[in-house]
Amino acid sequence: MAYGIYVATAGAVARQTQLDLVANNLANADTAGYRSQEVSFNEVLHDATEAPHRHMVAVGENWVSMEPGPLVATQNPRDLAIEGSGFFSVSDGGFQTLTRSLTAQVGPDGRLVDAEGRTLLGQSGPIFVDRLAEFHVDEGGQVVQDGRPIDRLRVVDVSDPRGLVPLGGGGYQTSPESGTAFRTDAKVVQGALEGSNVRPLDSMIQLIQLQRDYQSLSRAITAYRQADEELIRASRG
Amino acid sequence: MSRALYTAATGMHAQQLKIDVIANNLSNVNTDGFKRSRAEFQDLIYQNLRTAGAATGVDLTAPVGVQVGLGVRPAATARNFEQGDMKSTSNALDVAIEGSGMFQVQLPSSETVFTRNGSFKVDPEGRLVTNDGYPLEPSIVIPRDAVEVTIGLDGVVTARMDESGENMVELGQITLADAVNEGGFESIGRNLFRFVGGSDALRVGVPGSEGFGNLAQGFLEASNVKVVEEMIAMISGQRAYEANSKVIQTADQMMEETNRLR
Repeated sequence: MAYGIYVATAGAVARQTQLDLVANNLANADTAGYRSQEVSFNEVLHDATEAPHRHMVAVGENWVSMEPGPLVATQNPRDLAIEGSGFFSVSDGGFQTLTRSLTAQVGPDGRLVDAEGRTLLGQSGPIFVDRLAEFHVDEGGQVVQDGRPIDRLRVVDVSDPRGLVPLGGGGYQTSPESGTAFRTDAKVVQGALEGSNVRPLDSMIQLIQLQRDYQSLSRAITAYRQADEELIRASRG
Repeated sequence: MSRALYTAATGMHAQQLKIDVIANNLSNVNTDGFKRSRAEFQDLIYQNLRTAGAATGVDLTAPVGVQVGLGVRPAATARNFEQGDMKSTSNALDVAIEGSGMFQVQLPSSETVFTRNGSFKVDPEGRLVTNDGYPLEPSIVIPRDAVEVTIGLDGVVTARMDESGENMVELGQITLADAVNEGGFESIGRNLFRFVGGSDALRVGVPGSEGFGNLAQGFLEASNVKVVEEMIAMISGQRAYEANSKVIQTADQMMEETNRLR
């Protein structure tokens, strides 16, 4: 059997994974705070003992694109986004989760939560406010009620945001690759949410490209198979 | 293989919901006291194809994993309580709120619900009621022989009992309710909202004080739907729907290609 058929198959399988990623990006083209997922292909040296070397392809890694999404004005002053790099910290069942934008609300026990019910983190844990008074968040992330500062939202960053692990719900978790979260200052924008940073045009081009690649690879598989058939026929005489 | 198909389907469902919300906003573009909504989305769960930190060889680990997301889901339909435009009606029983607060209305079940639509009428018993006949809370009764009713900025309702204006009777005080957590107001139709954020988070007060808005007699608050914004959202929703359907086509064509490999 010709070995090339496996090379072509590996390529086709990698394109299927790529399609899954593009599908997710396009499905989230309208999701506030969503960051597009990018993928790279790795060349895998399959058999170095024979010459010429045979190389296969596999999905190597994927990462979160850190290009900022557009800020979408919502007219709700408690919709918060971050200008530049950085993340808000929220606590989801005790775990610190990072998110690019959120809607601050007062929870039943007076603590600030986001629309998902995750607890917003201040400088030292949850932020408690008076449930009956208006509050606002200023540019520095300071929560102000009745002209009195309550606490400052915890804004963090990581050394390599591309290594963050998406959790769904607009949340991200740190990983060994992203490095641990450190506190930083960032400009907090009120009345806006960060839109998705998916660029539909790029995604559509990827879609066309990967489909055509898949087609070529499947043609190659067919060609190898036909060659094998010819060989079998010839050897039978 | 079919992962992309289902992912794209979640995308199409999400856009459909977005259009549903826009349709409701646009159909209420002339509903007094209506507050527009917006569909918000979230990315769904992720599937790990290769976990970061997995062994890839002797003493080697993958620095970054491969994670494929499985689409999108609706997170919330957030209501926007921005002030609508004021329109003059010259009707003495039309009252608009300039700023924060909602009128309190009592349902037949004696539950208190809320509205921004202050187009009041008088029922056979003389009470101020909404268009559906639900009495305002606290109740205000207008005497049958009142010549003119005045509703002040501060919500005090006064009736003039004779032509000369010497006999003025104070009928009561309209109070307003609001909550810091506006998301706690849930629409129940007929321009009414129910508060589900816990009754102790609700604040009741006199118009014009403690951050409550003033009342404006002879005015109604128009719907806060902005047609242009809705149109743009509709276009972007339609295009996103189209993009997701293209993914389904691509996935389908790739499967067709696979089936041809026999």
